[in-house]
Amino acid sequence: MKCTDFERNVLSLASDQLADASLRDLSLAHVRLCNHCANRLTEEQNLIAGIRAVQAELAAETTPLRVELGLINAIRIQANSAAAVSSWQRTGLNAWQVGAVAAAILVLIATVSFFWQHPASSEEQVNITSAPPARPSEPSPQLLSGASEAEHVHVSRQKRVRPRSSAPRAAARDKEVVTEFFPLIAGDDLSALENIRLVRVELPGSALGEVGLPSPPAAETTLVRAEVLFGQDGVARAIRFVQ
Amino acid sequence: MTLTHKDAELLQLISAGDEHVFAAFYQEHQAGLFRFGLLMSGSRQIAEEVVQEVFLALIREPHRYDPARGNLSSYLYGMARNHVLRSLRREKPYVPLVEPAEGEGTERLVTRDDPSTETARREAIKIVRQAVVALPVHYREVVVLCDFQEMTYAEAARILECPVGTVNSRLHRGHALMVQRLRASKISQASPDEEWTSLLRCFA
Repeated sequence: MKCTDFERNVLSLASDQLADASLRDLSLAHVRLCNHCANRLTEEQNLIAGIRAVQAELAAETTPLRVELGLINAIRIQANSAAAVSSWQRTGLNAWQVGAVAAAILVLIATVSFFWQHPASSEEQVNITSAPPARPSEPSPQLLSGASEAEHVHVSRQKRVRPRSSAPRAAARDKEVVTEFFPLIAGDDLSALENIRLVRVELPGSALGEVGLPSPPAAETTLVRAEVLFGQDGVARAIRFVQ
Repeated sequence: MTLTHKDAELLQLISAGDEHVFAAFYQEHQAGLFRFGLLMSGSRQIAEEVVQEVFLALIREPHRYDPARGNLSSYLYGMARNHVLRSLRREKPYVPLVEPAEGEGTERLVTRDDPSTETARREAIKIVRQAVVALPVHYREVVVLCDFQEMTYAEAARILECPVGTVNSRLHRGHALMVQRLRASKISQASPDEEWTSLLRCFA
C-alpha cells in the first residue's frame, strides 16, 4: 500500500469503521513500515478521541425551556388566525371578493386623504391672486367692518383650507372677516410667491396704524388678530387683519 | 432521521395547531439542532436563535417543505445551516471562539477522578472546540454534521446540497486542519510531547 492509499482510509481506520477486513490489514501493515503514516494515524485517533469527548460534554445541552414556550405560543396564534380565515370562508366570500373589498377600502381612504390634504397650498395661492394687495400708503376702503365679494369667496373657501380643525372652530372661522394683505416690504410682488405659509398672531391695536388703518381706542392694550404671510425663504412678506 | 413518509402529515397537524404533536416533534429535534448551532457558531445565543427560527419557519410556512427533496430532518438542518451562516455574517466581529458552558465554572471544582486529569480533560475539550470553530465554514459544517451529529456522508450531502464526494474531501481537509491546529496549540503552550500525549490520552 502507498501512503496516498493509506491517507484515503485513515479516517475510517482511526474511527474503527473500516469495514473491509483485507483493506484494514493492509493499512495496519503499512503503518508498521511507515513512520509518517503511523504518526498520521495516531494524530487522527487523538483527534477522534477529542471529538468524542466534546460530544459527551455536549450530550446534555438542550435549548432553554423559554424557546419551547414561545414556540407553543406561536402555534396557538397560528391556529387562531387559521380559524379566523376559515370563518371568513364560511361567509361565502371567496379570495378575490375579499381582495376587491379591501382594494375598494384602500381607494376610498386614498381619495379622502387626497382631498383632506391637497387643497391647503393651492387655496392660499388663490387668496393672494383674488385679492390684490394694497400699498401700505393707501388705506383700504374695506376695513374690518366690511368685506368685498372676492373676500367672501375667500372666506367661504377658507372652510376647505383648514379642514382638519374641529367643527366649532370651523364654525367660528365662517364668521371671520379679513382684510386684504398689506405687503411688509414696499414694492414686493406677492403674487409671485410660492410655497407660502400663514401664521396667525395677536398684535397690539397700534399695529393697525402701522399699515395706515385707523387704530381702535386704547390701542396699546387692545389685542387684534392678524395673519402673517411668510415666503419660502422664511421672511414675513405681508399681513392681514382678522375680526 | 426516522421520519420520511409521515412528514407531510406531521406538518399538517402542526400547522393546524396540534400542540402535542409539535411538542413531541420539537423534543425529538431541538437538542440536535441546538448542538449544531452551538458547534457551528461557538455561541449559545446564536444556537438558541437558530432553534427558534427553524421551528418558527416550520410553523408559519409549512408549505415550503418539499418531501421530494429529502426528509423533514434534513430540511430542518438545512434551515438551521442557513440561519447560522446568516448569524455568523451578521455578528462576525462579536462571536467568541468558544463560550463557557453553563455551570462550567463550578464543575471545574468538582473533579471526578484525579484533579489534574480532570483539568487536562477540560483543557483538551476546550482546544478541540476552538479548533472546530476556527475551521473555515465549509469544512466546519461537514465536520459538525459527520463527526458530531454522526450523519452519513449522504445525509450531510443532502443538507449541504453538494455531492457526497465533496463531503468526503471536505471532511478529510477539515480533519487535517484540526490536527494542524492541535499541533500548534501544543507548540504555543510550549509543553513537552509527553504532556500533550497524556492530555489527549485522557479522552480515551
